Amino acid sequence: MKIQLYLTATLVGSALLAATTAFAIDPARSPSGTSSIPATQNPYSPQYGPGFSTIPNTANPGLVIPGGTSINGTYFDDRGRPIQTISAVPTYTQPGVTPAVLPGTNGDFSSVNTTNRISPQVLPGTGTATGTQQQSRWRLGVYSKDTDTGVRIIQVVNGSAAQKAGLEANDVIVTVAGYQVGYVGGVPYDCANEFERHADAEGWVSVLVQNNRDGKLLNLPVKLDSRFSSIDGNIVYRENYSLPRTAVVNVELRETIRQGAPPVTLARRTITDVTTVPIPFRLDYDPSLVDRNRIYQLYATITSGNQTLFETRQNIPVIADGRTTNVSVLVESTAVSQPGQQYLSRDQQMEQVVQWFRTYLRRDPRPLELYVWQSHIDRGGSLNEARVQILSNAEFYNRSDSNDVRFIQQLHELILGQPASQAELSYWMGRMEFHHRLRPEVVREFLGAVGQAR
Amino acid sequence: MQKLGALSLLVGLLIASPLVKAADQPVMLDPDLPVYRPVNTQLKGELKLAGSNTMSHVAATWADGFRQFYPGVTVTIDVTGSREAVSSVQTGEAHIGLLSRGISSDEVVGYQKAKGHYPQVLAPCLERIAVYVHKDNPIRGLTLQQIDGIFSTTAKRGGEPIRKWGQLGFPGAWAEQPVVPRGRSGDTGSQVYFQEAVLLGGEFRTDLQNHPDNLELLKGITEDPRSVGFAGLSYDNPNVRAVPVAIQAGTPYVGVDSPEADAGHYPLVRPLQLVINHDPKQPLPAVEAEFIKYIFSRVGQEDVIKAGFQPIPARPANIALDAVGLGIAR
Repeated sequence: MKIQLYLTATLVGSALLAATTAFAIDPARSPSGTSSIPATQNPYSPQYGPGFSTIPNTANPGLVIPGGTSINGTYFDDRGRPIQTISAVPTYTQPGVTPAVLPGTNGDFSSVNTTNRISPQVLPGTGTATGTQQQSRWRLGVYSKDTDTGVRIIQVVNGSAAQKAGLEANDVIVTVAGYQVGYVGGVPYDCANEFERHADAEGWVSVLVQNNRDGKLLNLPVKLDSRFSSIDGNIVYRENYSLPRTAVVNVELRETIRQGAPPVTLARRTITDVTTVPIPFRLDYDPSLVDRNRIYQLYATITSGNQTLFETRQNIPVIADGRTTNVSVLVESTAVSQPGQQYLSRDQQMEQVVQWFRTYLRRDPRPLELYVWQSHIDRGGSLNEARVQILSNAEFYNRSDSNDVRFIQQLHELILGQPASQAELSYWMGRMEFHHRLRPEVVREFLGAVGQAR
Repeated sequence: MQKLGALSLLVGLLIASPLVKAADQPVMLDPDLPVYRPVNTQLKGELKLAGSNTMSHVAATWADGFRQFYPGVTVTIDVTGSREAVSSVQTGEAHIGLLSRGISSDEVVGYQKAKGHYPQVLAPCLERIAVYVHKDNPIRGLTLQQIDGIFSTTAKRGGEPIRKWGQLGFPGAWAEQPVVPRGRSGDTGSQVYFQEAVLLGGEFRTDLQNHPDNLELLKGITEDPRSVGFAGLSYDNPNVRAVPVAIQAGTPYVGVDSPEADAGHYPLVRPLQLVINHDPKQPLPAVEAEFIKYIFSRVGQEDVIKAGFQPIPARPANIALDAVGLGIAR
């Protein structure tokens, strides 16, 4: 830690310390990755398996900071400007005032990632705005490792909040807003979760740091970097059409490293309760992810049940040319097929996938499988790959008695509608050997050879 | 053996986060899983994987996805069995091992001696283990304590030994019929997992019917309606029925193939693992590093589902990445 920040840090830190000590025990807090199955109900759950048979009580992280001097002061940003008084930071007071309230049961934690901390008692009906996915908002800008004494900084990202605060490699973050982080009694408490819980609206939070240079502890206010920049605009279609109540709008920001490479989804938002266009949207994305040499585009769909009503036919370029506000996203009706359309529509492709599940595995795809294959197709993945996967997974192989000969015969019977001849059988058994018995390779080659690859 | 402790911890965490926020919302992947962003340099080279038969298919799925970003990388997979997973990384024959059972302390010690550092074991996907009965068996569900009672002599979960169907509330002719437990042999992955997870390290009954493979095991159940056995979800077939499992009496029974299971609530999941040669003093070679980042990313976890296994949530993914120096910035 750089020494010049020490003075400010100590002054402000003491004030924060006073503000946070009072509620160091927070019943709402749970360790990172706490199970949805409550600790008290499964003291011997096999999930915690050999060597991990105890699930700690989730209520108390265990650290109470010894009392500090109370200085109701102002604290300062890295340029020495006063920021705001401690008492004005709402998130510092709420958990202590309402200890019985679990996160997720009210609106207090709307900016918090609830994924890891929701408790099963509040599962039904819990949640934030329908379908929006909560992503972490704040970043310190360090690569770190959780240890028994806190979160050890491995590397500080250039230009990050951590660097501005004077943090260095080998400094150890002991607490965030008074809550111990790192491994506490063998249970990891992610400092990122504590940032989400305790940072104020501007990203300010206090951290107790052990300085690598002299081993001393000191309290340091840090203004975290926001992971969110946003793109906003409207989704429109040309038709005079009212959307059904069940309509769901999905809009994604995609990045492609170069032409021809598969796109990566950086941000996604789902919008419901829409009746007609224009549909305003806002997508939050992490500005630090943007690389000027890559391609950024928006992709959107409007679906109802399993049916796609509208989708973007042409990806909308954003970010690179400075376009981040008031972006108009045109979605086109899938009911009207394009003149000369050669390819299957989004829904037709999914119907085909479902059909293959039924034919080859004799069951319907599970919701997660549907989701994954839809996302595969939406990213431009080939239908053939879906077929290859279904025909080569363990379930299909087990249905072929986990036997290579039977597997080759099944392929012939299901794809060509006829049994394999002896010559065909021995040829494909040879290919199995050639491909180290990796079935996806064999199936891909088989579909190609019989002219069924699409 | 500190390393072993850390490993178990990792495994324990895998199931620890719910995948969904609410049961009535669509089941999704954990939205906080890291996004895989390819690096700008055109990676080239060979990446050799070796080990578990169970994992070869999901490994091939990862390899296919990875090559879309890096056509210059050749990925080879040697299906040599879990037995070879650690040793082939130790000797350098493979870059990454595929291990579908726990690593043994002998393997850890041997590896440490040879390489001067411990092997790093990471768990990027899970296999659900189903408890199967005959298709006509009407049992509604079993608790872990009851399953322990059926399979063990030790009953470490505190229940009574269960030897007759009457003890599970079956009336009439069923009541006096014996419960016939079916398993594999001592050192197979699923047998070892079951012994540790359900029997809490206790002993199997001496009259356990041992089968050479899972298909034989399921055939045994099909032919004898008094049977109970266990095998991966992918072995389900119309002649058998997977029994919903409850963690204990009074908690809900969760079907192995239910939306609740998709949400991470099914209790019997076996971690499938990677063995990584990570010298803590050195960064991983670029190709290995990118492959591991790919596997623990959102797309890598979508591949897990495509291959028929259960994905992991964000938190254990981040811990795994941290463990090999690839952690995402906080």
